[in-house]
Amino acid sequence: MVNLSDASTESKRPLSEASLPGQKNEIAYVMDLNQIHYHWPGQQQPILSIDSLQVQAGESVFIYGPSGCGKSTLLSLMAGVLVPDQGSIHVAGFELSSASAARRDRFRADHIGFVFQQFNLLPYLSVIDNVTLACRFSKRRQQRLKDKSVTPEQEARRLLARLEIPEALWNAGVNHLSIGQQQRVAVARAMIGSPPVIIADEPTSALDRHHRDQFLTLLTAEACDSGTSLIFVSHDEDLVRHFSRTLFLPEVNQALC
Amino acid sequence: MLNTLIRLSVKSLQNRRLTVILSVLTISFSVALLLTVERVRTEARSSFSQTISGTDLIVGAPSGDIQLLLYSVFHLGNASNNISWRQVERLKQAPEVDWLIPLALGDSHRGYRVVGTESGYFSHYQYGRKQSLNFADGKMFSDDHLYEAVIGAEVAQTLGYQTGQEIIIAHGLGKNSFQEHGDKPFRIVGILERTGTPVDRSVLVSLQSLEAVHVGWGAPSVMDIRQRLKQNSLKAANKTLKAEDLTPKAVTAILVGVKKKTQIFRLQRKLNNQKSEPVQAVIPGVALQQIWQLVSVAENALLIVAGFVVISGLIGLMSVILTGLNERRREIAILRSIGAGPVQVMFLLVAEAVLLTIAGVVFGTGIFYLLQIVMAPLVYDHWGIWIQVSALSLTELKLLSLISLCGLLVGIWPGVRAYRISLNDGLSVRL
Repeated sequence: MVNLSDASTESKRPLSEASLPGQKNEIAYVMDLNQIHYHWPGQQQPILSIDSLQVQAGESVFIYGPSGCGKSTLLSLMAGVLVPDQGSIHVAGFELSSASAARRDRFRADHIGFVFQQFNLLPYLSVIDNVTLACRFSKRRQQRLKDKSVTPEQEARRLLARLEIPEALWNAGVNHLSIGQQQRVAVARAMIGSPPVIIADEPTSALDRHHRDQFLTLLTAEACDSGTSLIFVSHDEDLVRHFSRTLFLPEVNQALC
Repeated sequence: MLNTLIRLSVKSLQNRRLTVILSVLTISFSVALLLTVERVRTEARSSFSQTISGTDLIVGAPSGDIQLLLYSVFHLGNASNNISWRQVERLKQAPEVDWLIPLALGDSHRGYRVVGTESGYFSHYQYGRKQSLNFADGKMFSDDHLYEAVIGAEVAQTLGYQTGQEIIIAHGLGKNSFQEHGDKPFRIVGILERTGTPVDRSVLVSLQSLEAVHVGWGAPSVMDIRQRLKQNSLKAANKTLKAEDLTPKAVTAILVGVKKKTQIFRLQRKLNNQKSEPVQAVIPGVALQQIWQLVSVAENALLIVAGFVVISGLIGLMSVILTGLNERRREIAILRSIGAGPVQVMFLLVAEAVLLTIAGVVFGTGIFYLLQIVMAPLVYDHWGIWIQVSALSLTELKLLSLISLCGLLVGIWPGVRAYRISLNDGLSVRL
């Protein structure tokens, strides 16, 4: 058994939802996978088989590996879009693996920010509307903003400014943005309302070196400031230095052995 | 949440303006067509049945029930034969008869029918809900004066006639009849108010006047020659004809009112069986019923065709939404990533179909009214059916809600597909 959480650095941030009393883990894990097995319907061979994988609150984890090693499947499981055949997945203390589909969707809206490889934005909404859209699907996110007494619009503006999107573009259609800018807007949408986890699926693969580094700097800084855990998947080893912990997926995924 | 989804749906539609507008247009036109067919159907029916009321029997030369009704009341087609004046007088004496209106057709004025009748026409003819004719201007022609005419509202309006003006009537029915009775002009003494019936397009004159203009016309019959001789011998000097010499020889039809409604059938049977001169008597309501039976086949066919046009419009809409679906897998994945469930994604597509269908229904209703305003005068000119521009009827509202409901059904298939896509794709987007 590989206990990966040992290697992690201790979080200095106050813990979010995961630290509520009466919960399963002694140490608050924002993501806790145990004895996971998953195979695609109609296939014999499991694509994913993980004994144990934990992410602590506030941690930023880099998961890398070549194509086809189950990265996307792992992310879908973490986001609650897929359910493992066996094993349990706890996200922020909530057992995602046994919840109903509707409950998982609601949980994702409330607790997980997701950033895709590319084309993250709805083409028919303005930049601001794309960011605040995440709040419209989640009462929790709205509530967290209300607790800080800011409106979704104010928070969206703050995040966009923080992620260096020129103000002139905020009310424009997303087609006016470069790919790098689009990816940063997607980060703003994932971050709004401070979900405990951000999952990013190769968000830099369409960016050149300069924009990639700029993107990562902004992303990790904002995640650090808001105490959000970051799970970042890529096949690009160069990115390792931006993260507090690194996982090589083929080592963790026993299905590939 | 519902708000958000509908807002998203509207925004997404705005983004695909062109295809969306086209499919809305298709539905609009099909809806307008369906409404028009339905409206014309009911309006024609009510317009037809409103044309005559209060008349118990129509008597004419033997032909068909429908034919008699059509030529005598609606001025459609021609009489195959006339009935003699003796018959009119005999009917006047019949104990069952309360009143009668003789009608002589066959002449025209600039395309409008000239109807020879008696002054009783103005007191007994009823239309709609037993409404009598009213004068917009002037008065009825007198039975004592010749060459007086009362014109219908449409005649007055179209030809710009006023009382006191003189008009010339022509033999035959063509708009450009050359056989005009130019030497004997008629003076307009009255203009009727609009009734929405063929009366509006009639020129009413007394039977005597009509007889007077026809003296000496056509191939001279024995009677004509006799008349001419009489005329020559008696009145040739001062060239005036007196009414008593001008008893009409024949009329085209007679409208009859009976004293007691129970006598209608007895009188009808008596007339139909009469040996002296073969005539036919029909009850207007019964003949109208026969017309509906004939027409309803065509009516239903039209309605079915219009219905299919609407269905094809809706199928077109469905195909537009389905085609768009593949290009929107990205959109679905994004919505899923921020927590939209498959049901919400499905709702988005159903909402889209419903919104578009409702837009089509609203727009189509607009086109329908526009069409009515433009077409109503034309329809009236050609067929004499007055289409009232009025609010949507209950049946029409039902049709429209049915179409909107179909919009919901149309959305379900793409909705279910989107549901499946969102389950299968999850967060991994295939392009």
